[in-house]
Amino acid sequence: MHEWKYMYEMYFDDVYKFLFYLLGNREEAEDLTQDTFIRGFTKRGQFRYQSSEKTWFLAIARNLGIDHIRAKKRLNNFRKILAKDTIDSEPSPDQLLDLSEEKKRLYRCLQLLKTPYREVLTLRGIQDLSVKETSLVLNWPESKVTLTFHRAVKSLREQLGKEEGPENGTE
Amino acid sequence: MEQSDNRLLSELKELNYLRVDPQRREEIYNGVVARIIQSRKIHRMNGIAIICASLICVCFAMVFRGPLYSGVSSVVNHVTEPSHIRMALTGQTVTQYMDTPVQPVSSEDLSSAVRVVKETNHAANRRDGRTYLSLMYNTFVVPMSKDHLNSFLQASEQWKAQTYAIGKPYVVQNWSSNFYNFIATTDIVVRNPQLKGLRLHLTDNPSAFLQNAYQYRYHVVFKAAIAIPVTIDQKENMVLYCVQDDQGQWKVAYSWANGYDRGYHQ
Repeated sequence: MHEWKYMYEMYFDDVYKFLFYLLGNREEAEDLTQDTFIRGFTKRGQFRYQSSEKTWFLAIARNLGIDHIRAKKRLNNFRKILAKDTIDSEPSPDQLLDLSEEKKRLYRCLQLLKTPYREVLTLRGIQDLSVKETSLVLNWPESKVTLTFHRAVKSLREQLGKEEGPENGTE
Repeated sequence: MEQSDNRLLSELKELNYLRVDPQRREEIYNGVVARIIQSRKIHRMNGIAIICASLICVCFAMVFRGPLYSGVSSVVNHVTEPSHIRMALTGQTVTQYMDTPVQPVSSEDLSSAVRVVKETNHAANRRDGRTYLSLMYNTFVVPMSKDHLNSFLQASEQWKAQTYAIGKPYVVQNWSSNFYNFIATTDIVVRNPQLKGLRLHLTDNPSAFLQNAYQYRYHVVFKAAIAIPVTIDQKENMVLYCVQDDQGQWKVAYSWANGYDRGYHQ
């Protein structure tokens, strides 16, 4: 139990933030953070010390996050077919109270990127993991991490430019 | 371009300072612990359920082991024994190993058959001073139907016989047509009812062969006890039987089920 608490305190922030930026939803991030630690604690015997505990927990979180995104996508498609209703998956403003306007814009643009870009930007850009650590979490080759990260930065910049565009035009 | 990238990256890094409510953080941890404990309880309950189910299965198997075992045995018999000489058995222990159909033998039939054997035994003793037949322990004697006898004789006819006699060799030719009085052979001693088989014991026949037969594992007793196939080293089957020819002479005959070395002991 003490070990659990210790690990939880050590890696909660990393896991939670990764899931929050990956999913763009606080409640879902909390739920999956809980699932991540449950899986991590119960499958502790499978940890082979080939990576750090941090990347191990992040890899679990990533797998759960990807599964969740896929499931959610299927559900949304199903709902769209049934109700022809739009699903608002963006975070509500109150979920972003902690962030400044500038950060909120950055966050919104981040959420518009495709999932691999979001993953790599969160790990490399936000959480400042090394290329090696990121490759371990995402189970990608390091070259792919580097390449995807550059593409993701470019894509994010373009997205930010699109957001700035109308404002600039009015000025 | 690089400067803008660096600025963007530093802005991204600032997103890392996302504040999490400490109380919510604690709640999540409590949820983790509670769910793990709950899942362990469920696992424990599943384990208990599996053990209970296993015990029920074991009890069920113990209750019905007779029929089940008999079923398995019949399959084995189909493989090892020609169907036309396979006959039903009787006896409390032997019934577990015998093929179908099992016809229970009445006590009258049994005592009658035992009496015949005893009388024959006595007659044999008088004739040549040897005891070929004796009843000890558990001997299973069942009257044989004519159909069974004929089918057995047809099967026996195909066997070439060779004599292992004490004294002069005697080659059996067309002997089967003369032998209508088949009767129970010898002693069958139940050494261990739990074993899949009994041991044959021919106490009063001094030949080396029959003494060796003591070591053989009893395989199956045919109906009317006309023949006793035995398994040697769990590989070869030998059939022992006692026959009386039309001159009233009693012989202990044996044959190898693989088709070699058939004969009888006079």
